[in-house]
Amino acid sequence: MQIKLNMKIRYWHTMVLMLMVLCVSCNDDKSEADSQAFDPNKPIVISDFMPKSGGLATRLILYGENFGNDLSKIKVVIGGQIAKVIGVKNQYLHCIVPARAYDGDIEVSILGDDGESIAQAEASEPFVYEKKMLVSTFLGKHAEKEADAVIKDGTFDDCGSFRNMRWLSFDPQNPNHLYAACQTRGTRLIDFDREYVSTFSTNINDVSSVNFLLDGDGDGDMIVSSDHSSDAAIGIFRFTRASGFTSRNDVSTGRGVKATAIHPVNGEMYFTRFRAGDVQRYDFETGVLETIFQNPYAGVHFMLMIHPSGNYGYLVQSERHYIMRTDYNWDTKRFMVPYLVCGAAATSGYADGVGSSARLNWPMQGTFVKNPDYAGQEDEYDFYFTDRSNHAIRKLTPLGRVDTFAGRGNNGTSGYSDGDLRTEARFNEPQSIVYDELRQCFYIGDSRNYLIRKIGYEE
Amino acid sequence: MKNFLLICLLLLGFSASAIAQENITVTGIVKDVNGEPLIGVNIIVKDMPGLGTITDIDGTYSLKVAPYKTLVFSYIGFETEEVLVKDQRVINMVLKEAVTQLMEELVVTATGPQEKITVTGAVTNVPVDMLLSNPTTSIVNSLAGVVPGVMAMQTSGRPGSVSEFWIRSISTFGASTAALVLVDGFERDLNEVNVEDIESFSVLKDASATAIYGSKGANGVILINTRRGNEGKINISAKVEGFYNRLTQLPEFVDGYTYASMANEAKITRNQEPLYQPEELEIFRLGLDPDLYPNVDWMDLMLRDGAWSTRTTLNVSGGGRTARYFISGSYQDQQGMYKTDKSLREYNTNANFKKYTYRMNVDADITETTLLKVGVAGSLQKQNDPGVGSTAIWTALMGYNSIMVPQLYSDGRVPSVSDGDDNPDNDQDRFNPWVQATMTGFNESWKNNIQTNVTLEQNLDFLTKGLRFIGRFGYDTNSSNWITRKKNPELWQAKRYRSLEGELIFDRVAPEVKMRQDSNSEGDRREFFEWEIHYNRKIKEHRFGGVAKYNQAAKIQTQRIGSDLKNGISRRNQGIAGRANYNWGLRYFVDFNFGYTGSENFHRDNRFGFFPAVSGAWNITGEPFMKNVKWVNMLKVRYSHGKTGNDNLGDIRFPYLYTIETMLSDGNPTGGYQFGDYNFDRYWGGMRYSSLASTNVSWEIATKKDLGIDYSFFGDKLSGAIDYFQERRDGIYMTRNYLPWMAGLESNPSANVGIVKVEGFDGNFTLKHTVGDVNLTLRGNMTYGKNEIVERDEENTVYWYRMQEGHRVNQAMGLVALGLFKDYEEIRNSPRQTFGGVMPGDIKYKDINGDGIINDDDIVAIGATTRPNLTYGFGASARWKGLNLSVHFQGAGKSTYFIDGSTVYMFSLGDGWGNILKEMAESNRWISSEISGDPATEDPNAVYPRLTYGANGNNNRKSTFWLRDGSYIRLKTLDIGYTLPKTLVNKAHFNEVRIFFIGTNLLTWSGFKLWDPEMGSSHGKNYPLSKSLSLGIAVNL
Repeated sequence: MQIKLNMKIRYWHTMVLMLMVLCVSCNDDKSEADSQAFDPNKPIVISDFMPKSGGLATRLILYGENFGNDLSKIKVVIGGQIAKVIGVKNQYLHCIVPARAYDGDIEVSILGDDGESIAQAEASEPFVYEKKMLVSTFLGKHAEKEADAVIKDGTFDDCGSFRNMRWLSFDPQNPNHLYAACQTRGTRLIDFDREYVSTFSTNINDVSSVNFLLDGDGDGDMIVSSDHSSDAAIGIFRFTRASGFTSRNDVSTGRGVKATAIHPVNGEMYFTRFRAGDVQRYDFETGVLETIFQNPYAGVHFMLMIHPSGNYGYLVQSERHYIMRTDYNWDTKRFMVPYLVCGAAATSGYADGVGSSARLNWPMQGTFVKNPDYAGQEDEYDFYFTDRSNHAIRKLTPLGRVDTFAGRGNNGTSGYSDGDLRTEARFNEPQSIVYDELRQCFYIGDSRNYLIRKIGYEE
Repeated sequence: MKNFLLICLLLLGFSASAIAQENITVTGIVKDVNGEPLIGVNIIVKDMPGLGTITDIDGTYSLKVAPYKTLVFSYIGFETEEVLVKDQRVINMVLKEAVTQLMEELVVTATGPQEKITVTGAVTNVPVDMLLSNPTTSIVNSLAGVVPGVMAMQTSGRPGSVSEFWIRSISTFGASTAALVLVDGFERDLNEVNVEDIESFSVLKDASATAIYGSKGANGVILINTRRGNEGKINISAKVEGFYNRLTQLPEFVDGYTYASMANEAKITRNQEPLYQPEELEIFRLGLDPDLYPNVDWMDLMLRDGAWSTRTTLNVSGGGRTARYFISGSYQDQQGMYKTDKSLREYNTNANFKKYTYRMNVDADITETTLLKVGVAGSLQKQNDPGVGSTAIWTALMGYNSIMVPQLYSDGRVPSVSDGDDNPDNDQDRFNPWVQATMTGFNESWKNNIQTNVTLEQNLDFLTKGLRFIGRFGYDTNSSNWITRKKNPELWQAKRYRSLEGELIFDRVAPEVKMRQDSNSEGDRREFFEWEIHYNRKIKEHRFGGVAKYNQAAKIQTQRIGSDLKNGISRRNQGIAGRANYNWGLRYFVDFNFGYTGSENFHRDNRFGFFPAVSGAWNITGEPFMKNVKWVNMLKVRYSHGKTGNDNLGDIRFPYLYTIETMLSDGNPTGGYQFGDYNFDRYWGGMRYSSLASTNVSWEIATKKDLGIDYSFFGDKLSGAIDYFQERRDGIYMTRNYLPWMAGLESNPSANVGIVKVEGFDGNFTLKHTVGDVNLTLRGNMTYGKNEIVERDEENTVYWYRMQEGHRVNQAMGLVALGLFKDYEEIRNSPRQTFGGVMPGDIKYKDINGDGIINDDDIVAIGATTRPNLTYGFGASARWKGLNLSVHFQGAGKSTYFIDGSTVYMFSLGDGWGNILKEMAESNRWISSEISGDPATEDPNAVYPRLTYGANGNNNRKSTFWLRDGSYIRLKTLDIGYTLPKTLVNKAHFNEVRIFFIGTNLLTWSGFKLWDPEMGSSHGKNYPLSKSLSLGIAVNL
């Protein structure tokens, strides 16, 4: 019996052991220092932070001691602006650099129950605040659909929406006058002086572009093109500066004129024709109109934009999703047969890259902007253009590399949001762009958001 | 525990009612031959069901009985004795230990039980107790490594899932490799059978054993007979088991900081912009922004450490001379591994599986020579799953890395990842796994079956001696139903960048969906009928016998038959079969079997087939010269040669019929004529053969040869069998995909064109030994099979090695990797690889055909097949007094598989989906010295290549680089039991009480570390297998 009893005991012993095996539970040991509360008897210390420099919305991490663990009790001020604190773990703190934190001095304070500061500390060195380019809404009222976009004249605060903005251009002699060619929706004059938007009367049904002749021979007159489908009707008109752009003269017939271009040095005019698919040259001195070359495609939307040096122009093949370059022959004063610069003919898509590996989707108006980094090089200008169906502003460098400059924020496509150029901003079918040398910013005709956007450094 | 108490009460009730009789009182003492009293001997009154007693601690008993009745003394392991009660009041009994000899062991074959010595085919009897220790709901899961000749593989550990298994080797690439399973004589699902109900389990492997099944026997046959009642006192046994299941091996993934750093490395090393800025990595490391830079251990969040399951069985048997019964019931409950959040809802979304089974077998002697057997069995299986289903959850659980989204956003929004598609239905498998498991409603599915058998056995000795008739009828209905109740909350994903004010910006991934309900069902009905005439005679030394058999079976789909009339037609089989056997003096045996069976699925000219088999055996121990060789108890050589068939084409019905359809183009008729007048539409489309008639299609024919030895030595201490087998499978059904266009066919016909040959061996041994009080048993078995495709319909190629012909069925094929490129110099000097750009640290392949280009022509057979070609098992058990211990190891070899998918090809999807295994992150991979700052990390022999963010056509393809050896060996079961001393249990009127502990899948040894090797998974994203610990108690009354 004794043996049996022993055995029983041993049996229960094993049972208990087994149960213990079954009930193994694991306890995570969390490090205590991470989540300690603020200790009022100790000072707050900011020992370091990263990164050392950046623009607004930079994710800033502060290292130090005694930050506490209560988000609602901690206040961070950078450059005099309150920074949003995302997370705090006593020895680390994560906040977002606010706008206009120019001075960059970092100050952490712990608030009491009534919101008063009970302890504070300042970082020994300032955060180097860099101004950053941002997309903002410049002018107009956003509309979800075209029917909601009301067009009206008025002050900048109350000027309605913009529709079909095909072309934006500044009067070279008056940097406060910006013209927007809106096809059948009229040509609008944006007056920065008076902060007023008015409709510029042209008596033309379908205005596709507004350009200006050279100051010398051309008297700085305005050239307005009309995009109609008649072989006989006048396609190009000239408004004289002398008359205050009220006197209109016929220049030339033209069917499907998508845009005009004035040679910046020699002053002759070029324009592209939709149906004929060719590039026309008009000489104001002789009055001769001639075809200088045939476009690879006829019956498509394409436009010529000439480099400020006059050395070459880009032939933007909107409807075939690529860009060609045509070089200027200074002897014959004519552009020559074009060749491919970027994109692939008749292949739409979205890809950044060099030359033919880049993909575009309905590139539209572009503008040349001097890049200080290229100083001393043969070509100092980048070409910024609207990539309509990719809802982005793209940049073409002189070496043929295409990048996305702005839009498609958060890996999206179309939309309406302002903010950081690449991470936040979204456009909806931008199709016109102009660079404002005076204010150092871009204006973009964001056609499906029915307003004008601005890309410039934060103010 | 509650169950157990209930059962105890029940049992007590039964026993109490058994002691209320009068008449004379008989007492006595029962001893064994050594004079030791025997405790717990059953003493019953013959032909008086329910009347009886058992002996107590001292071996004494006392029983009231009417005079002139017969007392029957029975005790497990002892021979039964009968005594007629006249006027004696004291009956003392001495019981002799029963000596069962292997020679007398019965083997269940296609034509009924047969003495083992007379069997000439390859038949393995499986000891049923080997199957008992299986914690899952399916017997199949316990076959591997236990039964010689059976290979099995458990590919998922989901509650209710079953293993796939095949007999000997896969010998066809046709529709079915599944063996025929007969339960009580009819084709039934193996998983429906409760293990406790099994009386015998045998595996028929060669042609002579299976020819009788004709066109259904080619893949082997499993025969299961269920338990029946025996004459005697009522016998009640009950068993309650509780299992604690843990997953054998859960993939372990890296934390957020490691993931983000590796993602950066993958970008930088391919000259791309890093994905995360240094300060973002720092936020990951410090965990300062759980919304945008989370670090979620989804496995930990979602899965329990273990899950409980229980199994309870109760069976009652007994009966008198004219009628006997066996009744059983069982209940199993398996819980899933998901954590559920009780605070979120009232209903349970955890995966679980419940199974109820019952069985009642009654045998009645209608006359002296007529026996009627009736059996009814059924089961109900209920299964619950979270709304989106377990597959989707596992996909998400493996795809969601720790930095993807938090469990919940700080403002309470429910996060999920979108696939960028607008259709919310497509997003479901990318729903956050926690949402999937707890917030998507639940699915309920249940299956119920009823199986009925009626058997009539008539002894026809009055016509001629040894003649017997058996008629059998069976009727089964199966139905399975499911109800899905699905919903989901509104789901959001935060954009990666905060607004300028530091607030989160959200995109809505999916709108809220209120609960929707849907239901569906499937069902079928089977009818069986067969009769047999048996004749067995022994005249002097000549023993001969014969069996003639007629059988027919029909199976019809009863629900969801759709509009196709073919679905409403029963699948019918009909056949006659026979057997003739002769032996002389139990020494020389000859056996002839045949099946002449037909399937209505084939054209009438090809409908019936004749499958003959002959076999013979020589019992060497029967020879006079062996009489003096005492250490050989049995030695028998047997050989068989014959044919069987396989009529399973998959779901294809009536391949000999063509189908004609209207020609359509985008849903509109085409290829026809416009018969209308002008401005009227009277267009009639053309017609075409959408499937061509394949009139000659018939069954696959297997020609099998088997040479085997059955042996037993040293007084049955060492026994076993070894078989060598060969098979050639002709006429494997397949679609002719490579007919020339010139033939002008609109669709591809089918034909019996494939040929596969197989050879291999299986064998087992059992060694029994007694040392003092300890009984030791060693067991081992092994199955090896190698198949080879002799012919199949495939595209011809210049390079013979690209053909499947000459290789194993499902042979792994891929490129041969030569390691990683050392530098650009080596890339320039190597054959050109055509799968995309190559950098140092990428995989270098071997140019097999020497043409200087690495392309698909360099793909060769590498490794073996995913399913193992070798399965083995061995174990030992020891018994000492009431204590027993047994261990069983199981292993598989000759198996290789490719690993691939988003967990293996790190960052291959390039959209942030997919996870990194910790094991892989910590292994040696090729890292550019520019990143690591150490030239040693540019190791051309590294285990993993240079990282890529996004697709990498060169590295991420099948090659020896990603080929892994699937062989493993595991401690499949550990069984410790203790039988309580009789002295103790008899006081409580129990016969036997046993308490046991069983552990399964406790330890695994394998060269493959990433996930459980048995699953054979290429990506490790399946529900892992479980290891279980169980405690149970079995009582017998």
